[in-house]
Amino acid sequence: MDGLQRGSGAIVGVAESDLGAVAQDMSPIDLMAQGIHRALADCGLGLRDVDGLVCATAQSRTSGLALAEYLGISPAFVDTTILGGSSFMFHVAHVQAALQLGLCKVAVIAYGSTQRTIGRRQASVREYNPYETPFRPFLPSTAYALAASRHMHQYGTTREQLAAVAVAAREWALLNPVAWEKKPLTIAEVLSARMISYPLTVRDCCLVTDGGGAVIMTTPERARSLKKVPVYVLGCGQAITHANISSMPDLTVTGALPSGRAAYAMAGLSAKDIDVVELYDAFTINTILFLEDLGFCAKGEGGAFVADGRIAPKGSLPVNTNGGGLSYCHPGMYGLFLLIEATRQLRGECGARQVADCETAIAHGNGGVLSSQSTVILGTEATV
Amino acid sequence: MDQVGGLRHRYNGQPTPGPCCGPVNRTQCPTARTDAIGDMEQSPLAIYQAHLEKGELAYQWSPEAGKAVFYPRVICPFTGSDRLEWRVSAGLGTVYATTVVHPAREGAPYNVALIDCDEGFRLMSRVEGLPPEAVRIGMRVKFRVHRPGGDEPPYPVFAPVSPTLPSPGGRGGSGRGAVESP
Repeated sequence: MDGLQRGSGAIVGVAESDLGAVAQDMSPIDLMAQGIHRALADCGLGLRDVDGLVCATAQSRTSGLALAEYLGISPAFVDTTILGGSSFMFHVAHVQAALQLGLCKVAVIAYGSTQRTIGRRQASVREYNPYETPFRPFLPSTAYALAASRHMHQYGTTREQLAAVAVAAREWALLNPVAWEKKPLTIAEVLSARMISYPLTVRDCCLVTDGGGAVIMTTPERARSLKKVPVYVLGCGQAITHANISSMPDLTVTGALPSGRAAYAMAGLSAKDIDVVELYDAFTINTILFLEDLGFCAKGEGGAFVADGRIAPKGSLPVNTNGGGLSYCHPGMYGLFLLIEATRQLRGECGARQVADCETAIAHGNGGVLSSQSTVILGTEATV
Repeated sequence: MDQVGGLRHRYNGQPTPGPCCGPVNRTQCPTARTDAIGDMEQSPLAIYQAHLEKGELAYQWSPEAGKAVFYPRVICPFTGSDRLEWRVSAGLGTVYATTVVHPAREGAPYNVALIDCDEGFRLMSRVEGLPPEAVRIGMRVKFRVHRPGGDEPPYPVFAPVSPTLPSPGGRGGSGRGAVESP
């Protein structure tokens, strides 16, 4: 992104809040606070150091106010941009800009959701759209199913190839102690699961969990004096192509294409330079679309690319190493967890699922119904 | 108040056409009166729905962009101009994408599709008159109005046309009936 300098911001602390099904009556702000407390402990900073407050949740109209009050702080910099699940990648770019300009020195990016406990309909109320609602699309699933139908029609992508994405995510999840899913999954089980919106069964769709977390960012100078090795923001990109699926220009090409290009250009890297890939897998078709649009394979070849275990733990390209939104955790706006996992991989903290020699990572966020795309490329000290 | 003056400007100072007016009729419509402070007598949605009440599928045309605009708006998303004309579609289109929604609790599976109309705009709808899973991308379809009754406004649905009708633009598919499984 023009104006942002490669490596001018660093992620120094990351943490999840409680995940899965959290204690009764926990609020989204409780989960944000829990994530912030843990992420500050991760880097050795305290609340008194925080002068930038950034957050998003579907469950609070003025979450910036709620969180500032809860924490007892009056931040110098606030951003509550909300563009769906990719919001947190947009936040990273905004924080980086704020750090460059000196608007703040230490910023937290926080998220919390209790959608499993209170029900998805209550957590994320759908707006009435006179041009779509009468047709009763089961959103967001139906929008992604329409995109999948088009990809299958144009490129011969199969339901088995979609299912391979879910199976690979499950294999990674089995290596992640905090993943929601604990049992293996087969292609046949994905195909025979309850149909949601053809061609997507419930196993092609993300989990519905509670959860939250936080990411702490600061300047490179400050970062180098903290507890953990810094992870640098090398590149950011973003694109908004539509809000509703009926207005998406081409259902087989997402805004990840321009978003990725911008992030790669800023980072001075390309897909072949990326060691670990974290993609917003709300639905199995997402992983295929983003692998194509971010340059890991050619347009139309995503189905074949994922079919032979290439993105599974023993495959050649590590994708969604935490188990993804499909098998690890998906509280509704999943983007923050991609940043957390990418950071941990670059720090070498991932135990059984650790990718060897991990120097660069891509965390790609998706929001709405393929509507907002935002890409963050992260790297270790050696890459700056 | 630039943005709300657009349609009034387009219609040469006359109120936008109401249910009693033709789609590009610029004569004053006596029924189109509101208490609005400003120029907009009727919302784009109200005009669209008034056409549906008459059994017409209306869309907007941007003369500056030379493109169809859908859903109806106050300004053109291609140029930013407030010059938008209303037109009525011939009602022929091609299935661009299709899915079958399976309700979790009760009710039969039903079709949701995106239709590319021949005039160059796309809309969400459903294809009726065949099993929902038999709807194919590339299938030629024709508009009809669906009136749900009660307080619900009418909305556009589609049904297959004769499989021999050619697809003029080919944006959505081949123009033949079945192409392949969605």
